[in-house]
Amino acid sequence: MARAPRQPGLFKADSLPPAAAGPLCALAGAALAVGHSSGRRLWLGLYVPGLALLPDLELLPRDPQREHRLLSQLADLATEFTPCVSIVKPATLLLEIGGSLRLFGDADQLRTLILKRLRERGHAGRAAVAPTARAACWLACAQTDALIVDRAVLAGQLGELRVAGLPWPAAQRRTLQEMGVETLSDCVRLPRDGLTRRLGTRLLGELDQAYGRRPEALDWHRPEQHFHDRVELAQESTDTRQLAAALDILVDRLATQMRSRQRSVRHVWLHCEHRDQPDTRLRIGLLQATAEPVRLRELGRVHLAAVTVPAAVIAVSLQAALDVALVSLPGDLLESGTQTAEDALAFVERLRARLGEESVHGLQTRAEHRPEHAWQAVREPGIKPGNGKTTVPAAGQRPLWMLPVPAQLQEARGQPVFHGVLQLSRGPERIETGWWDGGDIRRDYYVAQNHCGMQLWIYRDLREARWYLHGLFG
Amino acid sequence: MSSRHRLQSLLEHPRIWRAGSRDQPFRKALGTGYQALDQALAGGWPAASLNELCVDTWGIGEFRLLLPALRALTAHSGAGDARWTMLVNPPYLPYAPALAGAGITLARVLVTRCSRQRDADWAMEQALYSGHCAAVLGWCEAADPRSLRRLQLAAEVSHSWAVLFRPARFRHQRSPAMLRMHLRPAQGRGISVNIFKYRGGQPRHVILHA
Repeated sequence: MARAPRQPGLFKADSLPPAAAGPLCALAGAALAVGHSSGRRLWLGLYVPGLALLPDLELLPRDPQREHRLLSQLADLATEFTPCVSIVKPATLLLEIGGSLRLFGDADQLRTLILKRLRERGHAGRAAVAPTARAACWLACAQTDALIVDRAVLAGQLGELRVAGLPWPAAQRRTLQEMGVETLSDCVRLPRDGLTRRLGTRLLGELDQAYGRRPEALDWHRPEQHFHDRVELAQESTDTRQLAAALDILVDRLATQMRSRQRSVRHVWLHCEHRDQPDTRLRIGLLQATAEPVRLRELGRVHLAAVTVPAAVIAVSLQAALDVALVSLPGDLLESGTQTAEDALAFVERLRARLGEESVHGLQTRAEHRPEHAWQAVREPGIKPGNGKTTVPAAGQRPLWMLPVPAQLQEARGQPVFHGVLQLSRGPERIETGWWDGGDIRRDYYVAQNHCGMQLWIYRDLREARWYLHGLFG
Repeated sequence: MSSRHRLQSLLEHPRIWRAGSRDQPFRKALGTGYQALDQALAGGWPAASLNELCVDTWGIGEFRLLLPALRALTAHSGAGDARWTMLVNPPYLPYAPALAGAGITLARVLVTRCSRQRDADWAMEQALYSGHCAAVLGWCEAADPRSLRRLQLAAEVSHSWAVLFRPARFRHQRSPAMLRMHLRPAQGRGISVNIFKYRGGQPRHVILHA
């Protein structure tokens, strides 16, 4: 073996590609494997020259770490199209697209889509499709835009590739050129043992892999469980609206990641970077883990609106730990039935946590004739079914709204007044009870109406001979 | 010309959603229980949106108007479904016997009281986003357009019904609500419903008799 099998992903014809985390991805991986028992693998090499463009000419020192980070971000992006993505340094991604063709149409359409997504990220790239990974990589690096689906024509098209364009060490390329070998077809025509001597076994192995004579081991890209992305502002700004635009971009990227990995977030960190000052940090916490970009965006905007940045912001970055498995996607097929009573109570607890214990309550009826005692607020709503012994009044007999304490009404010529003289339309209903506990009442209740159209429930206290307003029919 | 006009009026129907347009999400209508109002609203209350009900004084029948819809919502409480109907800062005590008498399942009703308007906005938004509330009804004196926008968004995202009762003096204020109406008492126990904004629909005026 020219190459030792490396962990974690050694590709064998019968092995499953390691799927990205999450049940849905695992499923997709399984489907891919099933598809492959009958179908073929097809590779898309994506060359992003901007990452390592003309390395000799750059005035700034190259930052391999930054390049790698960018490349793995692009690999994350590519997981939207296939779970099998591999990074070939310095600037190429390999995507196994054979399993994705049915979903995205054909290879050409998929390639257009991937390049479009890449452009949206601000990178220009070239992509080539070939039946072997190595060939796709070489064709992409040589910027050929080749589209080879059929294995039979692979050798022919690969043969036209110029040796000078291969990502091989310069010494070997020079050796070949000095031998008069210009293209790959010249190269493979040479006697094999001589070629081995001149190129070494590694490059010959690569050649075999490109032509599909030997399987290739690839390290699959594993998306990180941590999201960290950053957008540099086109113009330094203190305007939170411009920051919000950057936030939208970041949240969209985060949402893509969360979707492809079936993860959600419980809180995110938003950093506004300044030139000479420490970052302004905002923690956007959520009561419940979410993968909903709309909600994150809205929350983020609220946080941004509340903050005053001390200096101009040059970049905005977003960090989040994707540590919560996504349980159900919003927009369920079965809209209801997933809410359990426990969840519903947990919601009440959350409200109480912020608003105070007494602020949230449920309602219950009580078997009691005094109207003010015929109901009670319950601390644990929804658990106990209403007291079965109570008799429920007929609709319209009792007002929907009650005053906490009956309000004494003004009187005009013996008539009760509330926003005008009240017309009694129904009654009296005498309620005389409660002598046993000291809270005894003796009242005549009436339904009354004023000229504003309000329906009121008033009573005449027979002991005090006064009118009181007790409820509204709302 | 007349056939074109007919097509136009057909396309303006609120229940017709054109794939190209962004601002008309699929509408889930919630029967109002009043035939005339159902017709005016093309099916019923637009659930999954913010509905704004403006009244001159509380207690003229604005809550009564919602009872048939609330009855239907709370009646859905099967074993698996446990969604609340939440009342935020109602102006008086919601009287349990009357609600029960109107057929509302009390076990599904929550009452929330917040002293600050900011907390009330927060509670309504949380209730909508939580997915645990089928309907969120709020009473507020003043609400700034931003919190209204947030409520409308929350209702859209969570497919919950958000109802906001506001004093009628705010009806000239801009609002992102899907539906806005001005309620006034009419003859007898009737109520006059003036729909002055209905996204995708036409302004209408309906008088309902209790």
